[in-house]
Amino acid sequence: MVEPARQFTATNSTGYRFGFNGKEKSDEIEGSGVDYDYGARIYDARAGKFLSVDPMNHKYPSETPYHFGGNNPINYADIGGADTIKFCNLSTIYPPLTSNLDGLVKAPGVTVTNKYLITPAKGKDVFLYIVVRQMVSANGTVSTPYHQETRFYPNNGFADNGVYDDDDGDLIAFRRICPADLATYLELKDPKEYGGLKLDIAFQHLSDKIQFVGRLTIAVLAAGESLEFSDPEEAVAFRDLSLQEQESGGHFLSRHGAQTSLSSQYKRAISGLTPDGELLEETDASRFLSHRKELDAVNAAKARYAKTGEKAFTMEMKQNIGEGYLEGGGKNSYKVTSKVRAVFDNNGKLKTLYPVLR
Amino acid sequence: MITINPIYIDYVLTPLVGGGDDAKEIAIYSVYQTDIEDDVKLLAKNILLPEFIKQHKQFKEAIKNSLAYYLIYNEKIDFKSVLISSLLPIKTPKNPMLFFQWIWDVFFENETIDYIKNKIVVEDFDINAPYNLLTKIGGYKN
Repeated sequence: MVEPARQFTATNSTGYRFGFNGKEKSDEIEGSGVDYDYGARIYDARAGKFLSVDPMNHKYPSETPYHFGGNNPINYADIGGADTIKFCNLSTIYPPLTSNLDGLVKAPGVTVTNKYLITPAKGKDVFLYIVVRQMVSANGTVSTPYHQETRFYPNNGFADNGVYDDDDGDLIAFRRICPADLATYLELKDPKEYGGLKLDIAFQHLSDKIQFVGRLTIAVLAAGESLEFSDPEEAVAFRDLSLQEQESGGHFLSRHGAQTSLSSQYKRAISGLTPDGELLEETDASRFLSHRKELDAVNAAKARYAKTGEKAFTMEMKQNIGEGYLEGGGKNSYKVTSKVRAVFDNNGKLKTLYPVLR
Repeated sequence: MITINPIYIDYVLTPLVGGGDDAKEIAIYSVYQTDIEDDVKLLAKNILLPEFIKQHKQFKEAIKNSLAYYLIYNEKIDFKSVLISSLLPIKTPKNPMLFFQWIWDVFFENETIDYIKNKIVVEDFDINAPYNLLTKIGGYKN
């Protein structure tokens, strides 16, 4: 049941069908706003739970299969009723600011190339929020940085924390996560259309002369993914590879990705059982050393295919990129390699890509 | 003078490379017994040759010369490694060199590999040689 004065009636005859989290009301249960269609499941607003079992419940054995957002809606969102998205926690990426309030404050290892000057409205504190976006396309090309500048006044408040879809169907997650005196405001874009998103974020509080410029790379995990990375760039690379593999129907990540274990590769070398559980023929079995290395190889392979049209070729990556075991296993079967083989199908989709051990 | 490179041998197998990662391809190609001459020749004729003939003339020459050279001087190459590292959807034959010889017979009918003995040959091991050649001749296909 909806709280009194928290609803309105649209002027047109059909009424407004959307409510909590922007989801459409099913209204198949007596009352208005009792049940919402999340796509994968129906949400029961009375109980704060879903009516049916989570299709991803095997990933959350400690949770009830009916939970919404891990029973922790402050830190998690449940976009489609199928999986949980964790908000990035900026404080785990950046160390706390130092006490230097006059001048530039930056995270170690971050190169600052831009400094922004703004003029505040007279007599007011003003915060400047600048995002420098660089889109990384699926083929690895990086766009010219796009600067977006927003000014706002703390006394006027900010948009609430939350998740919503914009007009283009992109997932936007936003959350204020830094201390109030810095008024940090974070916007995440679903990187699926860019193959990854890099953000440079700058904040400035003119009255205290705090300036903070840093680089941040963020991944948003979608339904079916729940990996956590200590290195956010690995997360972005994994995300990108995962999307590319889904799109191509290939096996370059599920069978050769850095998330597979060495022991699973050894198993494949001696039995043919792939890391994702399919029993094939015994063969050399290899994985990439990191998702970033694999993504570099994917991008290089796609660029080469576009130029030459070769369907299968070997590339020298000039650094160790993979490891694995020769067919049959044994004492000296472990190898590290700098070579990668890429294979494309007749439609130009990447079928597989793997470190070559011989 | 002819430049040959073992990397070109891989290109004989192009339609099959990577198929060992795919259960569907393994099911399709498992009907070919790699130790039986007729089966290998059928595989070469129906699957490998159509892809080979599409390629640029100069690229085909490079593949042909390299295959001929390494079939003659087969102690210089490990054909078994070539096959295994290609992640093929077929079983590795007991005699990998014979497997390639049968492919030669289909690809270059009535031609003998012995012609290479009369050529001045430079052996090259640059893994980027195919890429460099394709860049020069304007692409993989004829």
